[in-house]
Amino acid sequence: MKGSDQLVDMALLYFSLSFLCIGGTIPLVPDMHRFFVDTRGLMTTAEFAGYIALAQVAPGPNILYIALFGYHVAGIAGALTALTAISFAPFVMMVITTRMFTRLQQNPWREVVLRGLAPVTVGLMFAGCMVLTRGFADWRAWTLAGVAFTVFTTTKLHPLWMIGAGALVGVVFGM
Amino acid sequence: MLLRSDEYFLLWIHLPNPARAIGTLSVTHLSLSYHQTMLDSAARQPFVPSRRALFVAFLQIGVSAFGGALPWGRRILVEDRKWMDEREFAEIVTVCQAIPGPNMVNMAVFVGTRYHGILGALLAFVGIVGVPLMILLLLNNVYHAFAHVPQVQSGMRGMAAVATAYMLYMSIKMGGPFWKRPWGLVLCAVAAALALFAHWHMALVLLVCGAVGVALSKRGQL
Repeated sequence: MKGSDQLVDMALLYFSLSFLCIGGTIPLVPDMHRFFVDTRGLMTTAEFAGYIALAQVAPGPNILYIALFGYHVAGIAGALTALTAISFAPFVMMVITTRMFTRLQQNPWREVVLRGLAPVTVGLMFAGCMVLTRGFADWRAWTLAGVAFTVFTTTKLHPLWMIGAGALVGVVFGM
Repeated sequence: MLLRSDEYFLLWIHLPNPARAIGTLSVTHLSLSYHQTMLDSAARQPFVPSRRALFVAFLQIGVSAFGGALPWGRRILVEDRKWMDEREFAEIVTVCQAIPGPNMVNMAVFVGTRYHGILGALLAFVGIVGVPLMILLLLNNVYHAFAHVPQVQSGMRGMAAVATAYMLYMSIKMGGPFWKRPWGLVLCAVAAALALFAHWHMALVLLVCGAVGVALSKRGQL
């Protein structure tokens, strides 16, 4: 596929996903993985997971890993295309919502819909985590993830420290 | 007390000497009406941050947001800038959750639109995303320059494992009240299985399971 075709291909993917990213973009990870790794073969699962981790270390809102996927495919143009496409629907919807904020605030359906969607969103986030574990090389990665998960649930340690520790463990044990 | 101590002091030193001598009682009375007019004029002309201030505030949020931007948004918008109070912030966050997109980016668009229309929304969006994007691309280039070093690869795998665990932790924390409802757990598991094993597209999962979820929640079972 030519570079420009790939760009359009990716823009279309993110444009369509931008309507669906309720509860952030993490529930979209299975769909993105299918696109970049399974059907288009643009990167490996390890690279895919690496970009997500890299974005966690850097500051900023957590859609930026999407720009990294774009950058991987088509450089700066790819990063900007991916980010613009994924932001399209949220941006337009938010501008409209702001104008009718008070009415929406009083609508009794708001709470009902939010409650109904919560389990589905969380289920999709689980699926995303499971997809990422396919990139785990061996039992050491599983152990590290297990320990990290325990630390996250039992302490209030900032995630950045744990990610740094993860890098250190990775180097020391040659994962 | 409706007055801050400095306002109180300013009023006091502007009063003529006999009034000072009479003491606190009359001063409090005077200052209350003075303060009331101040409040009225503030209500008539609501505070609107300049475009520049808007951009800078969201740039600050973007750059300081490590692992979740929401706490930083609260700190900068509510505590530092006082553009909104605690309750309003929470309400806007719930609206942002109902609209697709990451919460804090949606929040930027909301605040931008509210003060300066579409242009404000664009400014706030670029503010929160722009500089972090540059930092990340730089970091990415550094990583790729050393990607052939086996230690860098190992470190990256370790980081990825922890990041995955963090994602899992976040999704459990996000779940909220439905963990205690059996139907919520079933729906959650079904949605995950459909995406993972049946390879359904997200849109289809959201449509089918979302409809079931809304129906259940309408009956008060979620």
